[in-house]
Amino acid sequence: MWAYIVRRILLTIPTVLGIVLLTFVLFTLVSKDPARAYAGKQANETTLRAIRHKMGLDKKPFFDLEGAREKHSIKAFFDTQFFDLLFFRFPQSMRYEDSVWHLLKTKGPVSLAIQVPAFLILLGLELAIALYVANHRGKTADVLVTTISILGMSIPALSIYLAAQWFFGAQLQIFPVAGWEGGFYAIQFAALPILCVIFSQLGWGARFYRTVVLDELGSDYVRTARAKGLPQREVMLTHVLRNVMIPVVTNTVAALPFLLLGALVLEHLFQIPGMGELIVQSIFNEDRSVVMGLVYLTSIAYCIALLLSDILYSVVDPRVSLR
Amino acid sequence: MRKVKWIFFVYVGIVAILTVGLGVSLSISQPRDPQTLYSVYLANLKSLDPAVCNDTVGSAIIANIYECLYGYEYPTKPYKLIPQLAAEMPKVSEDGLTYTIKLKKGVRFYDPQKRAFPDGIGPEMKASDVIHSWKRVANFHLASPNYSTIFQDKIVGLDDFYAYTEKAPKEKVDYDRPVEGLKALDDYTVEIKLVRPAPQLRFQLAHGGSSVVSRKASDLYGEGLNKHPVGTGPYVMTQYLEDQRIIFEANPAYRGRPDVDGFAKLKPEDRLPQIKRVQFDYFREQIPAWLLFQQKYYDLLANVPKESFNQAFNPDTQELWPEMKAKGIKLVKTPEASMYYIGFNFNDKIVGKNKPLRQAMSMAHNRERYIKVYRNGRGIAMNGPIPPGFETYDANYKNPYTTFNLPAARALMEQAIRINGGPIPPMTMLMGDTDSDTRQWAEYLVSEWKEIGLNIRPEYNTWARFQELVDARETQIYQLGWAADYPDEQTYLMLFYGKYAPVGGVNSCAYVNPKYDELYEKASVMEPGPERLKLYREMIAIINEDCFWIHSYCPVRFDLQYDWLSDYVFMDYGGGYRQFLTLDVKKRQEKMSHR
Repeated sequence: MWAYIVRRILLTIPTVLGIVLLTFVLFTLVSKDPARAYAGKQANETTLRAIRHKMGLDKKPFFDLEGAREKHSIKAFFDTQFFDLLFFRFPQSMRYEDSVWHLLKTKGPVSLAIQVPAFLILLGLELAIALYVANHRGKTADVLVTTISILGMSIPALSIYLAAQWFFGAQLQIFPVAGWEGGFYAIQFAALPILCVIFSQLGWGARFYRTVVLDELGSDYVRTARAKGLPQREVMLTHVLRNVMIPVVTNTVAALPFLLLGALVLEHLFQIPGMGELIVQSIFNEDRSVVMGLVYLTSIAYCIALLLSDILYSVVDPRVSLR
Repeated sequence: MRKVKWIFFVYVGIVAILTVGLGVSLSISQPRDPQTLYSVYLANLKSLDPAVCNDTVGSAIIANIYECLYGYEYPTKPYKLIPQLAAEMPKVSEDGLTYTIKLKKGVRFYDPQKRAFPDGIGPEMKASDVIHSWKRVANFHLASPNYSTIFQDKIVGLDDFYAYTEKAPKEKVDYDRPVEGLKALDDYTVEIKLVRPAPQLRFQLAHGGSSVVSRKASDLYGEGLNKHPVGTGPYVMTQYLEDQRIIFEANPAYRGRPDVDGFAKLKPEDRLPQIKRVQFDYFREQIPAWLLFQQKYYDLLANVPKESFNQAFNPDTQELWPEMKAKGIKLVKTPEASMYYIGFNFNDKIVGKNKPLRQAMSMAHNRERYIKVYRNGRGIAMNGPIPPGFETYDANYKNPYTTFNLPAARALMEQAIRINGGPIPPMTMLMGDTDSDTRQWAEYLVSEWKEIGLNIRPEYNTWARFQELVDARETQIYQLGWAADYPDEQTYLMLFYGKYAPVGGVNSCAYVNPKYDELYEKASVMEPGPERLKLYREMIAIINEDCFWIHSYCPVRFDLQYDWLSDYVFMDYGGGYRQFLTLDVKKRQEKMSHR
């Protein structure tokens, strides 16, 4: 297993390098001179030069041969925009006048405060509904859940957010329409967005896991368990649930990095100062260091999550061996 | 089975805790301070460092903390420049090259963090702080966009100081390095020597970028001053949650009014700010702010979202619906000192050389209809490059090229085709955004120009890319706006000055007209007066005739406030005006109880 993990980590390095290279090239092509977005209406070359320096854009893109010759230093050769990104030396965010790491530290917990509870509740509900309706396949409950799920999947999430904001926030005034508070009051502001996430995603998850459970219900071991006379509840919760865990683990672990990234539209609409809103703002404001930094960090997190899910396979299902 | 049971119980436990927490949280309503003014801001703030901050919203907010040497009298309009940190208006030498400015005495800085000064109250503001603040703006490493706006090419030796900072390592910039044009004659007198006369300098010394910061605080916080403002203004910032909230509290070291010095003995009831605490909540989207304003969470709301306009106003009269008035909501309408236009590139071989074509396109633009249909009537059709509020603006002036007249436009098109030597080929109009408002605006213009036989293709860009193309003069037709920096026509007229036409200059249409340049050069060094006004009018006539801008509209703000707040007046320039507002706490509490 350890050999497998080391091999996977080694394989992750070129993947991440490729992602950094692609991200860097794409951003350089799309956003040729992001300094202009910050230079103001009366900006001239003097101002632009200063802003480019602050954003690290006055460095060479890949290698600085001239600098290395001048300073007689190999370090200067790699003191370039690409290697700054590669070695996590993200330039300061121009939009926030702050370091990318500090932004991550302040905004990450806000997104997690929405995403983690929403994810946990959602996962539980999805599994419970899937087990129940799969067990009652073709009956009223199954038809009802399938219909509601399709309905939920068909309505764009944005409409759900807006409708919830208007109905629960503006009309009934049960929840705040938008905004955010730290500490205890965060629950008040997080509640409606959490409910919106659950409602907008429940249909997809319930239907997906229902299909997985139905596949399992047709398996030999289920037939054997039933033939042995085990009660249906035990068949479902002990045998079926355990085998359903493989797709659950895959989905859960793969979703973890995205929990930190937050939800772009949701946070934007509910004025939640989390990572989702940070990304939206950074894209709108062409805050290159933040967007590139986050793309890079997310890709690494995703690679780690995939590795973790592979390892967890073997824990959940001992038949899987990592070689 | 046992494991599953445990997972199930843990899960139910989490959900139960969250549900109970939510219930408790919802049942305890958040405490609202009765003495606080609750308002919103609708644009993200880049920096709270006055040297770096150059956006309208940010500047208006930090002007509550920092002060400049000069400011604008509230709520006087037309705008009147008054001394703020200066004790009097500047004494200008006869050649217009030397400004001597006396400072108010006894004005103190305050650091709410109590890091720069142990008990918060700092030393007296002195001439050395003023000079240090301006040198900060001229520090290359701070990358201040205000440097080119306020100081570049104006003060003797300051450009050299800028060049020095560019070469010096960031942490080794020596602010004690002398600048010939900036001298502290004594602790309370600043002398500025100019490269050439600049009558607009007094306005620029009221620009937020020239605010005075404490030398000690700036040495301590460095670039961190953008999160820890230390000023002399009526408020201090006690909380700053990025993209969420800013809380101001009355500055305990404030002198009590902007027009007195630090030793003035004022009665407690005369001391400003009247409202001791102000909370600004950030909203990226206007609709939630509008919904919360209706629920009386906010006392003041800048601009009603377009989508909710008809909910608040009768679209025919543009007045509040009676039920809105019954709630105590009041409307404050203010034309802004800004305008939107469509520019033509002087260097383009089609539009640049064809005056009748530009005139025809301007005449085919129905400004009134656009304002009514797309802007809910919140605008004034422009008849020249100068918006209302300036001395040369005349609402009754009939500019033939800004009057919608399709037959005349078609007649001009015939001339345009002759000049072009054949039909006008399809052209491109550059837009600086990709949002729906920009698209509607572009499509509207395209449909109007189709009526005179033109085929214009809009091209949507990000703001940075748009700026890049405009600066490089790689445009044909483009859409842009301009907000005045100070109440002098020069803020608009400089946009047509030939010396700013080359790549990167503010003359984005690259317009060059020697006659205009001659008038501009004459007027730009003149003190205000009838003679300068005459020159301004001549220049405006040239701009109107040559038609390098299609002057479109001036936006009108529709701000809302509750009647428990004293009458709010929107000011285009300066800031720190929250100190003049008063709150009827009792009235608000009564109305809040009927929410």
